[in-house]
Amino acid sequence: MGPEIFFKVLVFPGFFFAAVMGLLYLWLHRKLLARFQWRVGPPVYQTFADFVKLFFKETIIPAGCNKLAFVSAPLLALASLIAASVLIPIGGRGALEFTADLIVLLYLLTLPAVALLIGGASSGNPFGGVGAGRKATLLLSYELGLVVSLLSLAFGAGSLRIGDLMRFSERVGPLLCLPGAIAFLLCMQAKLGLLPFDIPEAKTEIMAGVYTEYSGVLLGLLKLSKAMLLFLLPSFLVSLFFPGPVTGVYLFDTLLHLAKVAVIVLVVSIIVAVNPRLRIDQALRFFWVYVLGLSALSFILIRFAV
Amino acid sequence: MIDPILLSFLPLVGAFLVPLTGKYKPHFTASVLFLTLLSLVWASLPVLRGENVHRVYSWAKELDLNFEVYMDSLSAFFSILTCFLCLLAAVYSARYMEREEGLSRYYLAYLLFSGGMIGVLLSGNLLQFYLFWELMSLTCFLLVSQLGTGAAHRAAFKYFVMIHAGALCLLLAICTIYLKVGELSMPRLKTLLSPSPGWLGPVSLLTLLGFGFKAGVVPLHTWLPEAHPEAPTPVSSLLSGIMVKTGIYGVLRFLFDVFGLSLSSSTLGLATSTLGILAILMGVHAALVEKDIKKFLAFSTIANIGYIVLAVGVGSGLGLTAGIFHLLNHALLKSSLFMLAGCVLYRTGTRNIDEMGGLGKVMPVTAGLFLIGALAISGIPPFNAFASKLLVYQAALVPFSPIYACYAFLAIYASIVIFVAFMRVTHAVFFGSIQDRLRRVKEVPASMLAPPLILTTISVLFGVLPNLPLSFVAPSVQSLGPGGAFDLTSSWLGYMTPIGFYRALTLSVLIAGSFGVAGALYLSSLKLVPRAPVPVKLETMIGGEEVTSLGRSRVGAEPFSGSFRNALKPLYNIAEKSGFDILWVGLARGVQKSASGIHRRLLTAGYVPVMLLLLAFSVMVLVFLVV
Repeated sequence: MGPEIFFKVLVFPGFFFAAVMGLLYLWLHRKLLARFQWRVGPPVYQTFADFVKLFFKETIIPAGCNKLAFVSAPLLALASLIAASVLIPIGGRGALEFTADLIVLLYLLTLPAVALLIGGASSGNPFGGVGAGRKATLLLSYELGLVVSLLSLAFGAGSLRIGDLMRFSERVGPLLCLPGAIAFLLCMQAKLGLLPFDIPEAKTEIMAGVYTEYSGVLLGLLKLSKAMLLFLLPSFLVSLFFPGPVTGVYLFDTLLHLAKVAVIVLVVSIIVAVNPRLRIDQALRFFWVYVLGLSALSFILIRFAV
Repeated sequence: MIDPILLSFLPLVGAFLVPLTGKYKPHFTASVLFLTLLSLVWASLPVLRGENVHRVYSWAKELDLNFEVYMDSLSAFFSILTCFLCLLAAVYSARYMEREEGLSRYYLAYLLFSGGMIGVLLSGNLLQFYLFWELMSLTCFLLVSQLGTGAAHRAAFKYFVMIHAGALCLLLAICTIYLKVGELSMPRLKTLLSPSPGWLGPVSLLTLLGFGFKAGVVPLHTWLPEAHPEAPTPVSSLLSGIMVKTGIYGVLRFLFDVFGLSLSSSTLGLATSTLGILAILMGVHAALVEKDIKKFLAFSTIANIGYIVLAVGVGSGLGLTAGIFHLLNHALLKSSLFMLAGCVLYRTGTRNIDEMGGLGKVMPVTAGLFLIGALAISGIPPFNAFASKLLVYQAALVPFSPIYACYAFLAIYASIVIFVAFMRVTHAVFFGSIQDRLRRVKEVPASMLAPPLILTTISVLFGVLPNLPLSFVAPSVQSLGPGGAFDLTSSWLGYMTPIGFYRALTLSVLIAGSFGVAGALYLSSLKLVPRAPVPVKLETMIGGEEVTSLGRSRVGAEPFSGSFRNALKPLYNIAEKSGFDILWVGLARGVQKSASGIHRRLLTAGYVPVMLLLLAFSVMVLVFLVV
């Protein structure tokens, strides 16, 4: 290790890279959505400008909140994503892959939701409380499907190491991975807080839910972590379920990876464009019946195909 | 020179001096336990070097009975943990109990209870084990009924009946062993019982049943959610923290050590794991809707015992390590959480989370410690229970059988459920707007905050450096000699199992560093942006209305569990009609009713002596039947 670890964590493939890619993919998402709706859409620097604007706004900490929890929640969300960004493989390998295995990574990607829950709950705002509650219910709905779809791979590969999992899915091919990948994609939609599962921040019902009391740089950091999640989760999906083909040329593999992420973002945008918001109980049923069914199918397929 | 291991029985002597100590009872109790802790550590020094301590004192020559003290790394580990928690809970008791009546009785029973538990853990003889087991159960009965309310008496009675159903199973098992082999000493039985004879199967089942009652394994758990809330808080913290774990210790000691059974890839192991996963699912889903904060913690205990049982049922070296490691983490965290819940109860006088809210503003230290404990016990990285739960998941995955894999999936899912349940309680108790009634609540005294603070600090430390506890857990597992190679390597950075790895230290540093980066961004923005010249105190934003009505529009626990509860309505309805409490409702109630006539007549003679008499009588009947 040594000084290069700082480079890895802070610049590539860590914080800076993940943040820039996240904001770029967020722009792509917004642009695609605009085109679907016959709008022009924002220019490419829009998402960056949004963050910079929030960074230079005054941060207001409301009187009714628990300051320590309220302030540390966005920081924790960002911190967990920076940590995840050096663990998720890009172009065939993760920068600090030896640190943790699949379950740890799964939890690191759950930490932003944990942080937001704490943030919303500690803000002292009724809308924040309701938003946190809905986020919690959503978490309960998709978690089992997500776990089954991811760990089916581990069951097939006989290992939890990310590298082994990638080799496994490359070997069995994308077709066998498809049910699990679709289940993951749907859970991802909920994790990202996008339609039809944007229930915890439903603008027309509870203002901004957990985000209601946040302002200034804290809101900026939350938006930034949301953007990073839009890069990291598809990146995780691509690495685990569709790692192939691997050429061994790092630059080429990385570019291919980014292109695949763009395709996933396109699918995500299409889902957002054509769906209305579900009610929380409808979402719960959807995840417990269809998504869990899909991941169970993937588990059975892997069990008998290997 | 006196043998340090005999000093470990100091609480049993000290207990009878309690009435003489006037108003210094808590100080006396704590000092006795502190001395005991020191002597336990002293006595365990040879164990660290790999020599088991085994002392035999002649007790009743005519009956060929000996008083045997046996300490290997398993019992050293357990007894030091027990004594440590008893000491902290005694410190906590000082202020918590000062407003109560009957302190002589309380501290006497408390010391006897601690001594009973340590005695159980250091017993090298089956009969002696049973006697200490009874001492522990009886004094615990006294402690649960300490507050003297009707509910406390009912809970204590239920505890008493259920635990003694278990104790009778245990006694039957011990009698059978004695009749078949004619030996009670554990170290000698170990050699006599290998290769294991055919009758050991039913005896193992009996012991599992006996210890299952104590550990609160579903469906034998139903005393737990009733005894925990009614007991004084220091006692609840001990019940959950360590007493239910003596059940686990019993299983480890009897089944693995003395009987020399191996649970790995056996039907008994699978059945044990199945009970474990049932306990996990039952516990977390009951905790998700519970409104009594101590009952909620009790359900969480049931779930966590489930994790331990699941791991022990896997039976591999990895499984046992995971189980004992999780047991340690749960003991530390749950004691701390109970004490913190007690702090809230001490200041607000209620256990109902709907009557609290916004307490984080007035009790910041309690709130902070509770939040850390909640995150840690739900298994959020990089805290300690994550390190042990991860081991549990991996132990369940390693056999690569579909059933165990499904158990692992469900266990991970259940961790998220318990996280949501803890967030729900944290939100309802500490966050949100404060009720007018609670505005003048103050933080609790320092002597009540110090024990949970110490426990939380240790927990966080164990999370960052799992090698520290694992280096104590590993020898205990090796002393049990499970089948198969010991397949866990740990270093200061973290640990590695056959299928995965977790570098806790690296990950913690990574998260802390990233947190620093995020913090730097936040602070630099605060520096750069000019503030308003006169700071505006901004109240909560609720869309332009007056905020005075906020107390009434407080958001409590409902949004966290309402929809989920609705989705699982049928199950919750059955559970609420105590449909899962078949054992108690069906069996024990019947017995209670038919016996109530005798019971009422004898009540004038005092409750406990009657119980003791009845117990002695039934034991005699049993012994005659067996002989």
